[in-house]
Amino acid sequence: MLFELISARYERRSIAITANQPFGAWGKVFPDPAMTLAAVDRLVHHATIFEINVDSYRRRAALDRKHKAAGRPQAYATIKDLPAVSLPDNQTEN
Amino acid sequence: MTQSIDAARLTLMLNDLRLPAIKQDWPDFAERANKESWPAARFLATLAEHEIAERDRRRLARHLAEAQLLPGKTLDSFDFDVVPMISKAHVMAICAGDSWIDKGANLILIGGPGGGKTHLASAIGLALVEKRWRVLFARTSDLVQRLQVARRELALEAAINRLDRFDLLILDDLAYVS
Repeated sequence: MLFELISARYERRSIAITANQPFGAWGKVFPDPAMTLAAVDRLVHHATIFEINVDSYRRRAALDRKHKAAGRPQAYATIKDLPAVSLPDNQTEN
Repeated sequence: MTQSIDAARLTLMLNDLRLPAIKQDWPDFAERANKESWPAARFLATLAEHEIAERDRRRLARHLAEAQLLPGKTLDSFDFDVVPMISKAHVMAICAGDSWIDKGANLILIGGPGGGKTHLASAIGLALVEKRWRVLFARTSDLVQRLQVARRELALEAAINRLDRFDLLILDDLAYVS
């Protein structure tokens, strides 16, 4: 179903997709591996890909609240405060 | 020195001409024009501008309603500080739409739950609607369900074609499709 939609819009009309899983796990979404491959192929052929690999901001907010409640100072660094390592978000495949 | 016109007939004519904003508001403009002694050309130009502005506003309202975006999810309310790997400048460029939507290119947001993907997708949709692109936001599972119904009724192709009027289809939550 999605495959038909993706094929019909390919190179004509845009699609934006949000997904919790990386492409490798998209096999569950399509009926068979060949279709998965073809669908991913068409989607990424002309695509901007944003990878948002960050600690869940809800968890982060909860942690912040906890720290504030405990009266801890904001100015301390832990490994979690370091910027997450990720692919640059400005990669565009053409 | 009121030069009387047949107001009822004028209303009908403006209706025939499909100028609803002028039809509704010309008496106010006419009163003001008389009071301030506007030249006739200025009066006419003001009415034309009014109709065009209202037309834009109505179109935007229609496109916003049909887009079914999530309320409150705007770029202003998106916290870019939380996702340092996302460049705000890049998102803003995406929001212009020009460089990709006219080519039918795609946008893919991948990441674990809670990163703000859905918020960002809806906010980008909103920015694009404001730039006059037509957008539809849908949960992937809802849309797939609709297409499944269409297929059962042997109308899948027609259903997919109807989605063609949208420059951008936002499919939220791919993972939850089974």
